[in-house]
Amino acid sequence: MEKTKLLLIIALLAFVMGHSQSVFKGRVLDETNNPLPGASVVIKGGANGVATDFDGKFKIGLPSPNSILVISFFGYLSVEFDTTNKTDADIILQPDAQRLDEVVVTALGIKKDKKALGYSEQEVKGDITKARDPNVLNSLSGKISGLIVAASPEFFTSPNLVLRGKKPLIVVDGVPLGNESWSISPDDIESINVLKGANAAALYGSVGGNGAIQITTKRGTKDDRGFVIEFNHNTMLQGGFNAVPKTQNSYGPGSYGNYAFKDGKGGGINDADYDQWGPKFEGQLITQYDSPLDAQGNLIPTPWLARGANNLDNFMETGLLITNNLAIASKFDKGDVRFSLSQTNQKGINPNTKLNIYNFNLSSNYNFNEKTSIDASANFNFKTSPNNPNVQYGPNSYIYNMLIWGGADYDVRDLRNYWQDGQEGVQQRNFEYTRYNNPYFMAYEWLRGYYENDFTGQVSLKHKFTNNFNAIIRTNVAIGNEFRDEKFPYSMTTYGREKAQGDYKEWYEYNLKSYTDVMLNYNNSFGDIGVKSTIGTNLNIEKYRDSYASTNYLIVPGLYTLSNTQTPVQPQSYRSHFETYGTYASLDLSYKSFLYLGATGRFDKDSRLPEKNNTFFYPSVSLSAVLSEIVKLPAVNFLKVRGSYAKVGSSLDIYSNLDTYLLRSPFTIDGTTYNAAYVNSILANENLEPAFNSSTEFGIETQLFNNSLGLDATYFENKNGPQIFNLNYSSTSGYNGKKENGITTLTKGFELALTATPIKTDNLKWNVRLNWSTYKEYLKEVYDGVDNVGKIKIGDRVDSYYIYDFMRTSEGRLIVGGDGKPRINSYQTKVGYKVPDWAAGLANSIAYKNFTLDFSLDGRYGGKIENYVNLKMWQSGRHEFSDTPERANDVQGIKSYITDGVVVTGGNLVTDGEGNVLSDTRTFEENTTKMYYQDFSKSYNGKTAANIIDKTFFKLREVNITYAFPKKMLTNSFINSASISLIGRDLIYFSKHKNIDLDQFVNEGGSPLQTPTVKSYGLNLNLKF
Amino acid sequence: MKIYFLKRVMPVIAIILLMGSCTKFEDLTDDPNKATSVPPSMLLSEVLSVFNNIDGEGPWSDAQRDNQFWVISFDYYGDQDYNWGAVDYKYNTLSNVLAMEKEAQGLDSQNKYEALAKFFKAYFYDYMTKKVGDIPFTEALQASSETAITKPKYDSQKDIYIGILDLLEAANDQIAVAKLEVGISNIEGDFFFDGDLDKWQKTINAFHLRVLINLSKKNSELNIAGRFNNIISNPSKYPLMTGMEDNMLRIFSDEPGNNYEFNPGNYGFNRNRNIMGATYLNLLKTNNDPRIYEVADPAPFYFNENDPLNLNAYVGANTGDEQGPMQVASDEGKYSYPNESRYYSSYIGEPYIQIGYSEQEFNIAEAINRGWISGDAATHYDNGIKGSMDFYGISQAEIATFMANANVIYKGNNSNGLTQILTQKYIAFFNNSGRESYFNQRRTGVPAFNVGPANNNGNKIPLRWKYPQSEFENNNLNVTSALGSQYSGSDDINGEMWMIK
Repeated sequence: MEKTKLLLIIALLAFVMGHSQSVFKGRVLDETNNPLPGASVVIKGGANGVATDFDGKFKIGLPSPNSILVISFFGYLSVEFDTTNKTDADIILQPDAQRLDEVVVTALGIKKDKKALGYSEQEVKGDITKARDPNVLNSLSGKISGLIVAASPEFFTSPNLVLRGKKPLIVVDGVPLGNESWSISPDDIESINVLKGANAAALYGSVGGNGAIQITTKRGTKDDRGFVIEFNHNTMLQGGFNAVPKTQNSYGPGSYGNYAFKDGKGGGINDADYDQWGPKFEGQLITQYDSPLDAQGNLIPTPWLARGANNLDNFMETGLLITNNLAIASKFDKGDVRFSLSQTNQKGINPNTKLNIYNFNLSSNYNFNEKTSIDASANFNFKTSPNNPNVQYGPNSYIYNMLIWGGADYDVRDLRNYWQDGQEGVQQRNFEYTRYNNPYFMAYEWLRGYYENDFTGQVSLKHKFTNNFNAIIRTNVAIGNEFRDEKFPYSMTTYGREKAQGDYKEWYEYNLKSYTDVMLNYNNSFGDIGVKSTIGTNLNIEKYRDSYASTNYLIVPGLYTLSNTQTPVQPQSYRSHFETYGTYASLDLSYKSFLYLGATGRFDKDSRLPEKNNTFFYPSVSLSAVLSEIVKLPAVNFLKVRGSYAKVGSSLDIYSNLDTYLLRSPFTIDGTTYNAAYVNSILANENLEPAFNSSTEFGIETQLFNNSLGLDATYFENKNGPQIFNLNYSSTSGYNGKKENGITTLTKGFELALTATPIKTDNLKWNVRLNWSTYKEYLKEVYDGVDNVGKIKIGDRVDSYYIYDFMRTSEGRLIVGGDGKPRINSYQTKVGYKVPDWAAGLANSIAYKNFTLDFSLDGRYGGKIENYVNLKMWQSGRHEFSDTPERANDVQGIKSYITDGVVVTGGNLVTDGEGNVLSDTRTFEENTTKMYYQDFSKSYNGKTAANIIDKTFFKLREVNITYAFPKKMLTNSFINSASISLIGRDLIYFSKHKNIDLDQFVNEGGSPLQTPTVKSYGLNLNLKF
Repeated sequence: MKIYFLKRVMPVIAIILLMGSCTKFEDLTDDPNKATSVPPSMLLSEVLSVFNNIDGEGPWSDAQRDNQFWVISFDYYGDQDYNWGAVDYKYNTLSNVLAMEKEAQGLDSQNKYEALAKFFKAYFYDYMTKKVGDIPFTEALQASSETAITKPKYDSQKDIYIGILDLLEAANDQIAVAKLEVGISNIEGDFFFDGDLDKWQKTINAFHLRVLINLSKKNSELNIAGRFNNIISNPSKYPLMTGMEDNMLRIFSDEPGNNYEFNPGNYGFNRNRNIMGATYLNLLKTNNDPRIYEVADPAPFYFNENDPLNLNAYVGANTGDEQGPMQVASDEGKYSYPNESRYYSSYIGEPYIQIGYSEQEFNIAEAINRGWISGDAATHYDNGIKGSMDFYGISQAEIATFMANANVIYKGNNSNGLTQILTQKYIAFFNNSGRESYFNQRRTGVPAFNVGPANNNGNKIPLRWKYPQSEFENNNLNVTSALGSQYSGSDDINGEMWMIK
């Protein structure tokens, strides 16, 4: 193979160049006696220099016996070493107090000096694991400028991550397996850094085109004793609503004030599938679900009262999150080892929800000899959740059943015994028997289990041919097995299952991802020129299989097996397999510690693309200059400018470019089963090319006033495209379109990170970090002869939000119909943009003696969204502001509400097909039609156009107070160090809209129902032995 | 030793790993989950499901509400404001019809599937054009051909109907050929007739008559009378339905996915919100029609146990009335609901007639009334009524009483007789045959439809649907020019199309 040949040539070349005479041998170590690879060693006054190898060792020819060596390493103070009378020595570098020069992990795990980077990168500092959130990625919220972490309020749900408007890749230890964030124990995480664009992550290949979140896990200890045992305990309580929909509690179920229970199945007056526009709670006598029976078996009316005004509060429970971690780390002369065991138990705020996660992690490094070492790690992760709720809008949702369509007429606590007497296991007891379900019955009988076992393993073999030249073979595999089931009991109902005879469903999912790299690295310096280069090749395999089956109603109630089905089970299955094969090279050149040039290139071959175009190349280049090294400006400690360009190719969704038939689920009519097939409405294109993104960014970094103020600013433009898209055809052509290359959008953005140390004394230190970012994405090109994507035209923002607005006069008055209801346009108009204008995060850290106080605030400003729960509550009549004087008239049978608007008295509005006005001769007069308030609420407040809100919100995200026990206190104990923290998360939610938590939304236009969001507070105990 | 081994082995491992993957790379492109070829029966089942359109136009659907057979009082689940949107184009289904022809190529059953394919093309083009006006026809369905047409031009409705009538002729010819291929493989995937080509041929010709009647205003331009006469006078070439047993029916059952629209499972959702339409119910009341007791329950508020058959207790809601007060009156028991035992007591309900014998007979009666063909209109008019009575299981005695009603006895080949035919046809269409009752009403004005404050179209029943928004995005020039030539550029639902001018 040609590529292998190339590898060998490079290897040879590198070997020859790295070979040099040796007189003085040394080893460069950091302050904890760990080797510093890549440190620069030069003869003072001379041009010769070498870099230390992976063990910090170097050899250098000395021109004279009393030569002075200058040893420097980024982030450390340079040292001048007098070689007089010495042939070897260990040289220890002390960290630069200002830590200007950090080493950061870049793509594929390659470590580089932060100073040398020509693109934007940001690391999260401090202990991210202290203020626990069930999902570790939520800890990044507000801490990275340009990264939006939209935390989900739902149990066992990952946050939505948006980096510069796109979804970033998740990388663990340099391997882009896209790991699921639940499968990593927070206690095993050493650090997280974010590579913000294609420029930084291009070496990862297609998957890195949107930047990467890189997690580095902990390895063996550096402790002098050779071992350390660490125990961490964390308990968090979750309760106290941040955002919860509020209700009116003056009116109960029904319509226009009418309600009477008979059987809850439509036999009474509005006693089934009802709204909340019923009678006022005034103690009047009405037959209800729990009314007693008279001698004839008829219900005896009972007082109509708001018995369940606090149903949700009474129903929800306090959540609890307990995490324990025990880690043992050791080092020995040939290497190191670390074992970590984590256990997480979470109890959700919805009753009977649980999640248990167990995680085993073992990592070890072993040095066979000076040249060859092996590094291996394995992670087992078991997740089980016997029940986690489904919060989608529908009869499965507590919000739907209790706050929207369910009323205050019943007390949920009366329904805790949820079986009908004598019909246990068959029939629930409830306040209605058609659409709604007893909340406790749902919590304890409608169970959705989730069981997942994940395994990831990695082996990396490293061999040093010379001090400057090494090879790494690394292979990683991640295997996930997931089983889910759903038990749907007799008498429970949901959409499409109105027969209410139970169901059982099972899903199996298997996935395998394997990622193998072979890399050759060559590092050296020639005088003022430093060289750092890598060439590598990579094989990526992804396999996926799933199967699903469901009963079609159960025969035997309560028996949850697939064979207990009324008509035969028709299972479904799916599988996929693709491979990508990449070859890449990266070269970094430095001139003194001033100018840095980096370049990467990568070839990919991808099995998902059409055969003739499945191989593609993409490059990146970056340049940075540390101006402060050559120009000394007053008050400026550090000043760097950087710029970079990158292009990344990417593939298409698997099997999406093939002309195939699709099969429908079989259907049965009169005893015969029919199987239908239909033509895929998108035509395939064998000439399809890969999609490409390119990214250009410029940045400036500076440290001012003795490093008490720092600034990092970035401007970027991402060109997304030409993408792979469905070029729309007129459906009259028989097809809806064809796969084509086209659609290019341009994302422009700006990111700012500010750090400041306003106070710094021996006892008191206050650090402030501020992140601010913004981006906007515009449509730039579509396709030859096409200048729009739906409503969006070239030059428009792609997140333009179009809705069916109310029909209005040119003065903006509502136009209402003869029935007084506001009319709605038959075409869509723009109401704004979906993406927030900007996002910001502010973090403070104040250290006073042994106490540390950390607190952070973050949020977003602007962007439009439909407040769906608000809309639904207006429709249902449960909205907190729906208790109006006109409503009191409704229940008396009196129409009294007059919509503020006009009616059409004559003339015509003539529009073309797209809603453009051709002529308007309409005449209007003031509306005088009186209507029921219920009808107004549904036709105005209950419409999308009345529920578009701004996404603006801020949260007091984290507050931690940590006390580190003084060393003195612990000297005579077996404890080496100890700290205790009081912690809080999401303590205050600032927003105009308190019935929706806007945190989970970034570029969405619609909002699903949410579990009310809560505050978390607790304590963390950390002990090291 | 070990080190030496590692050093040598590393490149070897690397090469194996990389080369091992190359060999099977091409095999990975095919989708193991989908088929590249399927039997034509699977495409027939697909096409029939769309053709049948139970959700959109079946019993108690929105379409039947627009037909004014029933009324909904609960605004959350719907309305009858006649503020119509866009037509639902069926070109994707026509692609499946083409695929069915393609997959039948070379099979023994080729003639059978091709005959049906011609009928489906005629059916769907008629379905679309009568809703909206001009549509693409000659350039349609050519996205996947050698010289792909992705923005087809629009053809005039007249040209489309000429094409549809040709397709129906050809379908009848080819099915006649196919019928001769006895013992050769059959059509499968047919949930209407289970491959019975005799029944299919009768259906195709009954549909042919429907298309011709709907073009009654274009008799002179398209020689509708001559075409109609050609079919009626050649019964051996154009067999027609001879009774209710020939109906094209969809049967419902307790099987999941095949339940009747109303059933015990959704009684609570529908009962006090789904009300009999006054337009329909009043027509039954006028002639003491016995079908009223089969289809409706009396309003509890007006019901007198001692006089259970008193028609004063049968009160429909006006389609044009406001929903709020309607719901209040419903809660007070002042309206008739769909008959509980017929419609709510099981998952079977009643069958849905897609194309039926009664309609065919009324169409022939109308053609005689109009003087297109010779014959006795009264016989066909009576056949239509009796067929419908049988559908509801009305006793022969009751039928006889009804037929003897002076208002019901055919009044001759005059406008009164025509109104009788159209009225009885409307009654027989109750919950059947999609939107045919609307199209007949649009053409003839019979029966009078109700409008009122709930109407959101300027107190008018619309005459058409709009063009799909996607056409303005993807075929702008052609659709705009079609609007210009038909409706002065405005996509107005009150615009009058060629066939009803």
